[in-house]
Amino acid sequence: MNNYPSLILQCEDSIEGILTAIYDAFVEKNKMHSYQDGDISIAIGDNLNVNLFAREIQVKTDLEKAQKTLSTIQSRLSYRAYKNIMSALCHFSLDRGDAALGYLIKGFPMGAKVTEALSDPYVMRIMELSRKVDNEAHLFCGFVRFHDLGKFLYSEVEPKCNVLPQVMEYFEDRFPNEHYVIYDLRRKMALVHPAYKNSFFVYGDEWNVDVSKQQDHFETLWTEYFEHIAIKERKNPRCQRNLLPKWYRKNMVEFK
Amino acid sequence: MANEISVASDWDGIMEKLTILADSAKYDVACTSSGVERKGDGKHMGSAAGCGICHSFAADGRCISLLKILFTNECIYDCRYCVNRSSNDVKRVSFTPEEVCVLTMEFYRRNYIEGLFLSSGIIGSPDYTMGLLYETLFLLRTKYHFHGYIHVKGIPGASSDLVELTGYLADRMSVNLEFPTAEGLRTLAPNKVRQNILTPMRQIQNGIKESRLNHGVYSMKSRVSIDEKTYYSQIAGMQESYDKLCDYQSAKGVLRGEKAAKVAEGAWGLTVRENAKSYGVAQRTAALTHADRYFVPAGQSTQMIIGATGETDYQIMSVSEALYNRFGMKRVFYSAFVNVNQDETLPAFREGVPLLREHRLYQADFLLRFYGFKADELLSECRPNFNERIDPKCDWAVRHLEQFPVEINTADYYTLLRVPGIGTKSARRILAARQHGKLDFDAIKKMGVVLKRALYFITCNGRMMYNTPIEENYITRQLVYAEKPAQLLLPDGGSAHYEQLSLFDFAV
Ligand code: SF4
Repeated sequence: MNNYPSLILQCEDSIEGILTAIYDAFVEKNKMHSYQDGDISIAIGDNLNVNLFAREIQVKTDLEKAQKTLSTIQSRLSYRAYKNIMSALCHFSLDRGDAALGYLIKGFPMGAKVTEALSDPYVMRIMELSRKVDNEAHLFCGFVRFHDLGKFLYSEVEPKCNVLPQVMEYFEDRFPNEHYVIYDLRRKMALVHPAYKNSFFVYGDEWNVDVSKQQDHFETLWTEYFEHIAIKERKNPRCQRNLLPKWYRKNMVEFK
Repeated sequence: MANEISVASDWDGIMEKLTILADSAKYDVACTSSGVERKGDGKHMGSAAGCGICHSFAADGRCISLLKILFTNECIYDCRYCVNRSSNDVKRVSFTPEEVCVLTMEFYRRNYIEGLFLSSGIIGSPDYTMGLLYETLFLLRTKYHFHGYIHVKGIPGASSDLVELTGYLADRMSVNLEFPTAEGLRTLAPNKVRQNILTPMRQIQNGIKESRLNHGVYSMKSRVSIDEKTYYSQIAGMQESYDKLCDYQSAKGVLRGEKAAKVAEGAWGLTVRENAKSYGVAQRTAALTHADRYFVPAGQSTQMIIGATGETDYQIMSVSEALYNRFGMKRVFYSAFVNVNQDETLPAFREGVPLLREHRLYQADFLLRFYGFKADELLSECRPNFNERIDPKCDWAVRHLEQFPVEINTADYYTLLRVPGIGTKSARRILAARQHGKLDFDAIKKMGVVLKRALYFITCNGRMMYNTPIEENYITRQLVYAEKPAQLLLPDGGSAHYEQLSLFDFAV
């Protein structure tokens, strides 16, 4: 951003919230006589940067506006651009709203070609964010651990990025016949999948399952297997740490 | 939903088998789950991700992707290097096919694994063993409806029928070459014959080729995207024969031997051969009705033990090259020798397992597969081993200084690839970016070129970065200095320290 914003849109910290803010930003932008890069800024959550000179608007999350933003991206840009933006919005960095807005301001006149315009700082930033999110989502496809609670499978995760929307389809395709819940402890948000049905999200923290109480023979078998499959003559904790940082091990049974 | 766990009610027994059979399987290096992309069928459990997925990393830093176990550690052979050799006094255990199925299913639904990697000692005979592996896979695919990844060993000496039938159920098959030279095999695995190893390898290769051609895939290397409709109808065919077979088995309770077989033939069109695991014959009828059936869609791999028999790196790389070119291998794995039996006639490495050598071989293997290098460019009779101090590509470059420096703005793809510090990704980026304007050192650094290594070999717009001399000793010294402390990395986990190996090198 080159200058100070003259307008700050303050929105809720959720994908829908940011998409609503983007919608409003375009409405506001069209009202302006001239628009300079960075005139409008999107502040996510409570992280308002109090600014003496900028006008502030509180954005109320509006699913209809959010949906309109999405369909415009799909129709005017491309599926790939849509994927990139959606991924990037799952990142935790506070500038993701600004990056998405800058990307779209640049992108709408260009159309599908925008994904190649890497010399543009916003386009580059969105690529970068979406790559980080996709990488973490890929890791979680492997690192999620389900506990068998009898009635359903249950998993707790603490990803840095909001990966649940990213891994939803993957798990649905792999376990169509299972009831399962993947609960994101940090965001208090659960991905719920009833067998043979579509998944959905539930917000709130009523999923407080004490998984340590469960006695599951297969967990014990797996943990032992994990110990035995390593070749002791080649022990290499540094390499192990590089590939599977301690951060991710918290909710993996074999490291408990 | 949970399987009935009738087979696993004896938890201590299962635990003992699992630990023993994991212990004896762990020296097999491959644990990759890559090479085939397959969506689920919307009803049953399982799918396959083309790039492979790591589920955990063991204490040795190796990726855990598959449940890697032996079916049994019984063995009629006496290979000197192996814990399971018949002359060792170790506890022997065997799974039943059902037990392997239940373990795979239950581990999979908890998301511990991508699938199963099943190998085995030779119990009874090669055919009998292969039959057991086949039976396990058959049950897993039809009775348990498992659609995840399966890698299975082809047992040398097993009949081609069984190998073929197994190939319709597996995603990947491998037959271990064991040693680079026939001589090594003769001395260390006296019961194995090279011919028995190469025959199933060739058979699997031909099967893959035919199946790929049927699906319009002309290369042995590319990743196969499964057409789910065809695949699941192939499985449904087997399902049907499984049902028939269940009828047959229950009929067998009443009728016996000859008579049961006759009825089976009449009623269900099955030709039943008792010894060859009747499932097979049942499946065959079904499999043959699909001309476009999938056979080992994720390709074939193999493995060699390194450092036990005194062969040179040059010999090893020449063998690998032949395996890639003549046997259409997807991957060749190298396993640094561990003297598990403390056998005095075999080398014991006082300074530990020869991991650095293994690492260099993987680097060179990469050069063969993706960089267009040939084995005899990298090494020769008079220079038969890799340099311990610098990687094979740097080593090649300093000995071919006449081909440098290379101009970044004009060189073609393969010339760029030969520059140390430039990988396939950065080379492709350079080609693309060049069309929009001249590139300088700053720009190529952003594209991922490791200048620390590349700077001695390139010019941008006719100028070198620092005017360094193009002189062998000087550059070698600089490169040794630039090589990171040898933190050794592993075939499955890939390498964070060698720019051409991406962090998750199971994509290839
Ligand atoms: S055949 Fe040889 S290598 Fe294989 S299990 Fe038996 S003894 Fe070990």
